[in-house]
Amino acid sequence: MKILVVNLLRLGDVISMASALKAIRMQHTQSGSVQNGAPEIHLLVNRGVEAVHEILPGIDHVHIFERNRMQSSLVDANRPMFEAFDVLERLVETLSQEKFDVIYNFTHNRLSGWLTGLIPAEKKIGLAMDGAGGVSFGSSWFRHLNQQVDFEEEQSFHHADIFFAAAGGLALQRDRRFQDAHILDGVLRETSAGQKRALEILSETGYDPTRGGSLIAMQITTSDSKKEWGDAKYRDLVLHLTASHPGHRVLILGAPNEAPRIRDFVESLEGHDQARAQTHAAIVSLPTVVSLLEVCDLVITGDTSIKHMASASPATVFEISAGSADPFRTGPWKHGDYVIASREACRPCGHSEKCHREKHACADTLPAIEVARVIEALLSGPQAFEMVANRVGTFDIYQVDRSEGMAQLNGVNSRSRTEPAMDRDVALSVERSARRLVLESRDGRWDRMTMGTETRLAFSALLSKFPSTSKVDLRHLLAGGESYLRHAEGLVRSLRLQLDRVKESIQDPKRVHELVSSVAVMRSRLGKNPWTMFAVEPLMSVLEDDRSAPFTRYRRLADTIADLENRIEMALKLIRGIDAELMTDGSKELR
Amino acid sequence: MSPESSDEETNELKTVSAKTGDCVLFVDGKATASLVDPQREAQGWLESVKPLLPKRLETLVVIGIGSGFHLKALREAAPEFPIVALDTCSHSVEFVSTLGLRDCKAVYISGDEIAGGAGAVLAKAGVTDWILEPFTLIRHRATMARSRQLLRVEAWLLGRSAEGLRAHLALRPSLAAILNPEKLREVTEIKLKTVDVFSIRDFVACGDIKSEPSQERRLLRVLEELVR
Repeated sequence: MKILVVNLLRLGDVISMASALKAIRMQHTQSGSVQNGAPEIHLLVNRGVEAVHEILPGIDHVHIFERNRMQSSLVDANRPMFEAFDVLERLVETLSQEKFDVIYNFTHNRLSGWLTGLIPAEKKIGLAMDGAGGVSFGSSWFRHLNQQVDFEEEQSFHHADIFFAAAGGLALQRDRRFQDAHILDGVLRETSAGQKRALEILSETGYDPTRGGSLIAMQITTSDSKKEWGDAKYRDLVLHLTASHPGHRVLILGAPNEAPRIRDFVESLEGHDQARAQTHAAIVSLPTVVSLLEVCDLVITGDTSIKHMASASPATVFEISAGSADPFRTGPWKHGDYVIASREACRPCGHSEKCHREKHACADTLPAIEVARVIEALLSGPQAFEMVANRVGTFDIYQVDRSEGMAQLNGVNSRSRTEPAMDRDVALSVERSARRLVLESRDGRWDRMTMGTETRLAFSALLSKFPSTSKVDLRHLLAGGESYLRHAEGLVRSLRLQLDRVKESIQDPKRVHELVSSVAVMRSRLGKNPWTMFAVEPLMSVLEDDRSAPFTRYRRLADTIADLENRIEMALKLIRGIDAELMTDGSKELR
Repeated sequence: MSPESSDEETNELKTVSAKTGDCVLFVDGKATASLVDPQREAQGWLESVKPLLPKRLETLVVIGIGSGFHLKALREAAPEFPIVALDTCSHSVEFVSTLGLRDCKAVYISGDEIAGGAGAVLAKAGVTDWILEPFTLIRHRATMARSRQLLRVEAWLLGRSAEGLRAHLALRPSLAAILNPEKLREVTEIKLKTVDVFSIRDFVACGDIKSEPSQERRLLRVLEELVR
């Protein structure tokens, strides 16, 4: 089995697919015979990212996409007109000769779609575009990734989890045979050179775990100035943390090209003897970072590749999210990791947008002293953390919860944590669970034999998300949801009947017009209630499409209705199952 | 006398010793390298072109041979890359051949070949074997400044002029097949009156949307995304 994995994004994006890579390895090793052994995995990444193979286990070969060279040759009149064409053609030739069985495209943009379409393979998972621009996704999860752009933050699935699911990871997680394999552990690889260098760095810091205190890694730089919190704030944070415990050691991480800034930062602590003694610059390679993270207690970082590496390590991640960083889609993903984010309405902004504010408001509204208090409390223990975090009123604190097998950010200091849940909150949570199961089911990776387990997982997720809501209130909200969804079920069924009647006369503009009017009415009715809001986007896309041929439009509507039927049915099953769990579970006393 | 013929080579040739004792070629009464320290001059040139060296193994095409000191320096700095050096001066080509530089081929482009146009030069032996592969073009500006012919050759190799583009397309029939001849004529004959060079956007705009989706068309789609 020969597999190509395509990721033409930045280092952090490549690392965030590490769990998917592990799932690919496990899945294809599992399906292959003993003679076949492990699959041969090739990686296609941008020039400059190729060193990532040192920390990704099981990569047999790395192919380089010469993005910068091609881009510059395309716009530089002094370079040969066909240089980029020839470089690309040679790459495609090389990859085509490999005769891959499967290609996974984890990039999800048009560039990678066209490229994946050009390389022959029996199966392609992820965006691939054929010669005529026709699109295939190979997995419902990737189709969903395309639609999720329009979703609200909290409805979205984490991109790393979408890749993981598309690679069959969720199915493997469910599979009892792999329950002991801890699929999210060991997704990155340590090297002996990395371990050796990490030990040297640790010995230079004089860190002694027996004396108390924590080993804290800090990544103060990001790839984009919009995502930066600012060196001055990080400096205040270091001063505060080191003053709070003489045993703390802070490692300021940086790649070799960031060395001058990191050294300047550490030197800026001169005059603060304790802080200076406890803080150390660590200019490191990727393997060294992997080994260092294995022994760190906490990693404080912006939206960086270190964040993704730390999510794959035992260290707790504390992301200071600013600018275009989108923690719901690309934040830390390990259970128990944390994110803080400003409440500025313009956050997260678009990647290529310039900040239009006079000040860097999303970073400035995260004051160093308050952030330091939160982190200090976090290092002191759960009770201290909860007490301090609940008092923070100027920014949001989230914690990653993977109770359902996929990362979900729960507000630590949000209203949902301290006050009873509202209709919309519970509706979104149930809808998310139902959507996950429908997507898995569509990929043929889930059948209803494990509905009981899935219900239990959804139930746990609901409880951890709304700890201040009593069972009685939850049951009340779920009962309301069931009623709305049953109403929606009836509406969708009537539309299905109407659709069947129109089947023989889809070329008749009058009949099609009547059908479209019905869809518009249904969209309007379902859009009024949080339990059925999820139907609005798919119905809108059918309504707005007045340029497709009648047959195409009919097919799209039929697909949309089938999808809504599935999602409503799944949500109803979950509601009934969760309600039954609430009736029998004794872990949460009635208030 | 046409402008192109003003720098046609004559038979005036001699060699002189630089202050360092290195042998420097004199062509048409002009020194082709520093008469003080040609090796140091070559090192300076090498430093300026080092950033151009590709990450992958491919042909380095050097325009301008002169006395070959820069080729020697390049050979030492990048021993793994094949080098092809082009010049319109036969004496320089012969001279550099005597240096015995490993995997370094000197190609003479005659006045007749240049008169034959871009097609004749690109189809010439010593050029065809790399012109369809990725290559890195490195200029020896000092030599190029003395030869207008070399500037024309450079433009043809780049393929961003109308004549150069046509010559490249003649060597790439499958790529030419996806272009709409009318659009191509429009771009080559009209647009080039207002701009100096083609870009990939002009080229993609010449694509014939009615033609069958081909490998070349899809490759262009990828490139189009890179500059979107």
